[in-house]
Amino acid sequence: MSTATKVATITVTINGQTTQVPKGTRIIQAAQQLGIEIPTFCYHPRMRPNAACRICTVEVVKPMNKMFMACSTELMDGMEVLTDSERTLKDRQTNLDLLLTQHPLDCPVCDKGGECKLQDYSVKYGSLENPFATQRKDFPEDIRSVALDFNSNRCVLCGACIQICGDIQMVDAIGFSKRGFITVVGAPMGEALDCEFCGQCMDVCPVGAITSRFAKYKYRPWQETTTLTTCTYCGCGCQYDLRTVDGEISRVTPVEGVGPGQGSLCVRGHFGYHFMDDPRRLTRPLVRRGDKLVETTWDEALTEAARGLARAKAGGANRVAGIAGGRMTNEEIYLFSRLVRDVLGSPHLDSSLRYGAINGVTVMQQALGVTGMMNSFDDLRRADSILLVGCDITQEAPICGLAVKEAIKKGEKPVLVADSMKTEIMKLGAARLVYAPGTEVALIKGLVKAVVDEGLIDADVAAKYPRAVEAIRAELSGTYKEIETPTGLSKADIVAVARQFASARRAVILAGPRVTGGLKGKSAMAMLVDLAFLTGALTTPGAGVNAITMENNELGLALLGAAPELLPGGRGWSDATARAQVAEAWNCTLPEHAGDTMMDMFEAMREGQINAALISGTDPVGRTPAGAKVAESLRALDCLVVADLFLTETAKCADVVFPVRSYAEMDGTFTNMEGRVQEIHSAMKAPGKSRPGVEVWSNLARALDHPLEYASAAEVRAEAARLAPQLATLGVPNGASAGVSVPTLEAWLQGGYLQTMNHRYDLPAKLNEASEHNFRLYLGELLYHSGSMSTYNWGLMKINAANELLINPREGRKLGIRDGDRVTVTSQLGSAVVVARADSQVMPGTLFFPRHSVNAEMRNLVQVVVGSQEEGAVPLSCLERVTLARVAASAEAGASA
Amino acid sequence: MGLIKTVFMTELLMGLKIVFMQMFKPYCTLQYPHVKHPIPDGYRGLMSLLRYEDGSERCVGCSLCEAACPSNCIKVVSDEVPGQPLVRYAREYYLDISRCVFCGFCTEACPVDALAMTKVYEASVYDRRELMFDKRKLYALGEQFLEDGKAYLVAHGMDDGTLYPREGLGDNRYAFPPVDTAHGGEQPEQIGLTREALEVEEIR
Ligand code: SF4
Ligand code: SF4
Ligand code: SF4
Ligand code: SF4
Ligand code: SF4
Ligand code: FES
Repeated sequence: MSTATKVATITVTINGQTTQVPKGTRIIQAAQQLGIEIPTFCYHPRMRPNAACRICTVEVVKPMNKMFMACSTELMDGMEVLTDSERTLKDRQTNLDLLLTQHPLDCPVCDKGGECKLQDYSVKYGSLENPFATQRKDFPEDIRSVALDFNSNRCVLCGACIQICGDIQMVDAIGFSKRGFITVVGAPMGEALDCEFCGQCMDVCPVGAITSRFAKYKYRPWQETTTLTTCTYCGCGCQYDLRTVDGEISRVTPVEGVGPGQGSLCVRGHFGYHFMDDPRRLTRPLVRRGDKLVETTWDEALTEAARGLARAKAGGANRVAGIAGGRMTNEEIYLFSRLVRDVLGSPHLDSSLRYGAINGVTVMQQALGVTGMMNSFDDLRRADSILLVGCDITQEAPICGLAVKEAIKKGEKPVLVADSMKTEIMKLGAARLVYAPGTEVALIKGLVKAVVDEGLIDADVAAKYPRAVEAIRAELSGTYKEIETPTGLSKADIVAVARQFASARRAVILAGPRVTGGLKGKSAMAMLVDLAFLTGALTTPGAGVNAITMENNELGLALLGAAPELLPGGRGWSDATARAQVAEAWNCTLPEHAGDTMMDMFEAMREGQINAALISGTDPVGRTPAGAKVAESLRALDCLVVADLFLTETAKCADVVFPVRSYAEMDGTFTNMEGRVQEIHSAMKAPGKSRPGVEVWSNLARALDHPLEYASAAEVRAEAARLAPQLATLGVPNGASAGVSVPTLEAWLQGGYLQTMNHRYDLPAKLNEASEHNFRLYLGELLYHSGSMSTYNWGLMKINAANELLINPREGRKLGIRDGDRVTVTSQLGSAVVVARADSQVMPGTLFFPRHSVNAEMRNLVQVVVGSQEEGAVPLSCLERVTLARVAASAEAGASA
Repeated sequence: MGLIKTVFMTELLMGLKIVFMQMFKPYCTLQYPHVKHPIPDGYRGLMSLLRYEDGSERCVGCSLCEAACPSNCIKVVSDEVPGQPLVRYAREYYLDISRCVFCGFCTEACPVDALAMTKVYEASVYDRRELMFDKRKLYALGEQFLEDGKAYLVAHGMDDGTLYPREGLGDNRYAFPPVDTAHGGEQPEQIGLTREALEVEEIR
């Protein structure tokens, strides 16, 4: 924004209308501002002009009389342009007539028909009698890829698809090639396309040359109802149009310039729309009768749930627990937490934040008073340097990843990546540090040490806050050896990256789930805050430190206080004023002490101290490591109430199951990782008797004789916004893009900072090495899957079924494992058989398995480690994502070959 | 005068004169329903869907008829033929003939001459629901009144009387995209589904 201030304005005239525009404006942009239509094929507002199609030619009459391309010509002062002069129309007509000599007459069966630019322009500007001889292209349509079909006969060779794949998605998966006398678009060398399947090439194609396999022939644009809604697969929270025909979903289309993605979508958002109408969806409430769950009425299910909860509550309020999930709407989370804390009076409220970004969120909250990211995606796009730590951004938050990719284009390797895999971003030319999995804490310590030792501390910070700087320096007295050994990195590498980061002006840190979700995640995050503090990033506008949240409404969980250490508004439970405020708003007395974390709850359930639980929107049995243990705990309960879309592994343990609606069947809001509160709308038919979560919790409250009644989801949000004011405004990032305010920073440095400093820089114990377990098995994120819904999508499962073990190619060869072989993986907790594939992203000594896989055996190989009393008053629990294992070609290999 | 008129019943005779004059003219009424008028070609009667010679469905499910219909009485549910990639058809097709105003716009819109109107004008039924024609019924009508359909298309200048075969669709008629046999797709034997065993219903 600030750079735009000095640009001079010029006066131009288009079709007789005179207007003032900033210098550098192109004809097309000025015309669009005036509401004048100029036809375009290859022009795209977010890409540099390609000037390939020439349909946009307009006549310039002053200062010279000449035809110019509107998409690429910059206006000059005093320029006069005619977009509908005779000459312009003639050129346009000739251009279209020439295209139509080759274009097939496919419109009736082409999925673009009805929203095709070639169709529209031909009707508007073409001639009925084509003077040229026709020779229609007749090349077979390429339907080999799982998601996209290429029909090169329809291609107008504008190149927009190739450009977006190369410049914005930065995958470079497609190009033109010559086949005889026709030019074909598709993967190089005539191969079948195998890319990220973000689908953006399809979105920018002005004609029907690239179409979706999943939506093939299923709709006509004019039959569709369009609902602007929010994607639910990750924390990016992209906006898109959900399109339905007669209440059934036909496809998803992006909306240019709207939401965090500005019109980009990833594969999950674009093609992951098949779980809503999956036949496995729950349609009626279920109750347990003996071993079986049987269908019943809402009345009976609600009564039974209320009776079970009341029974447990009679033994003491802390005998009830609630676990919320990051796929619930803000409204559902609010009501759910009110139900647990107010109606049931229990302190035990936790959520999927616990195995997500809880450490990142709480550190940011305590230290900087920010819930969520400090920086918006726009800050990332403009950043001079981005340090990614334990964050495979293109897989974990693909659209945030696009913002990082945009920063990469600024050249000089502005993006610094520290990861345990060779991630996509590393390959795109970022400076890299590849460390051994599970050693994030040592790596971060190394970075801070380098900043302190090499004198890279921001001069301002050193002068203003000497005490805090000294406190950090005192913690870093150790040698580089203790960092080099576990991480496998050299001092020089670490120093180089630290130096580059410290020298950048707008420097941003992004911490991924392997930092915040690991053991000592809280310390790791605090160290990153120190790093930002020392380099001055905390107070520089556009710079900062951020923790990525993975689930789409994980930040909503934090904002609404769905964790024992949090309260609505994202404030800490220990904050007495906040507690009083909540108690007053709810007209209740809040429990005295903070409740148990999820892991402690499971322990308490097993020991019979918690007898009833409510779980909604998350599947701890089916989606966490060591899920079998969790199931044991849940089975020990007297009454377990689960609300979900499917009969998940958790729901199978339940006594009462409520069928709830998906995001496409109800109204509400989600909070993305930047803190944008964005709406969802009911767009399609809901299955059977399912109800929106808000209605379910309201009904349950009534059944418990403590009515919480609302007319709509909006009313719930209005009430929630009184405690969490962040919910009041829609669509704007909620961070601190301008930097943390000085009073907040000083309050922290003088308050909690030094107390929590103790042990912050201690390194965690090494994974206990057992010589035969010589691999580090690590559960990570996959672009194609996230949250617990994606594996219910037949479309996404077809693209990637998330059940392959990835192994380093060289090591695979050494062990005699070929792609597709079945291998046995063994850890101290057992063994499992999976299909293996070599992938050069995986480092030697490492095995990668998708975290969201449905393969429970593999997940159960990874340990749950409870790091109790580790840091601060609230016992903190973590899931370890890394475990030691060994791998061998399976005995069954021969049979399957 | 008045008396003479009354005595000789002149008014009656004048009336009878008309009667006698008509007695020697030819009949112009028909003994409907025993006798029926011949219906001219191009008459816009009940709608029908046509097939190709080999029995495959002509309709490609493009929904253009639906878009053209002024009374919104057509519903096309299009899809890819299961097992035949890239072949488009109407999985379901509904035409609410009780709302049809017999304008024929849909037949004009159809790019493959799949729709044609028959000469059947007797549509009354005892149950209104029977007037919701589905795909089966429409193809059955097309089968039963194929000659009507052909004549309709010729009369309205949409066909040359051969009922364009798939390969020989005129220059401005739509032809199917070739199916990519090299890449695992199968060359479809037919467009659309094979003909189901038809029970041609009597039109009451
Ligand atoms: S789907 Fe995305 S990654 Fe694949 S070719 Fe298209 S733009 Fe490139
Ligand atoms: S496939 Fe579409 S976007 Fe790509 S060059 Fe052809 S017309 Fe342009
Ligand atoms: S999964 Fe994330 S990045 Fe992909 S479309 Fe949805 S919100 Fe956007
Ligand atoms: S004849 Fe006219 S009213 Fe009847 S279905 Fe066709 S377009 Fe609709
Ligand atoms: S009848 Fe003709 S116009 Fe209607 S959907 Fe079928 S092919 Fe298209
Ligand atoms: S839009 Fe200007 S050349 Fe394509």
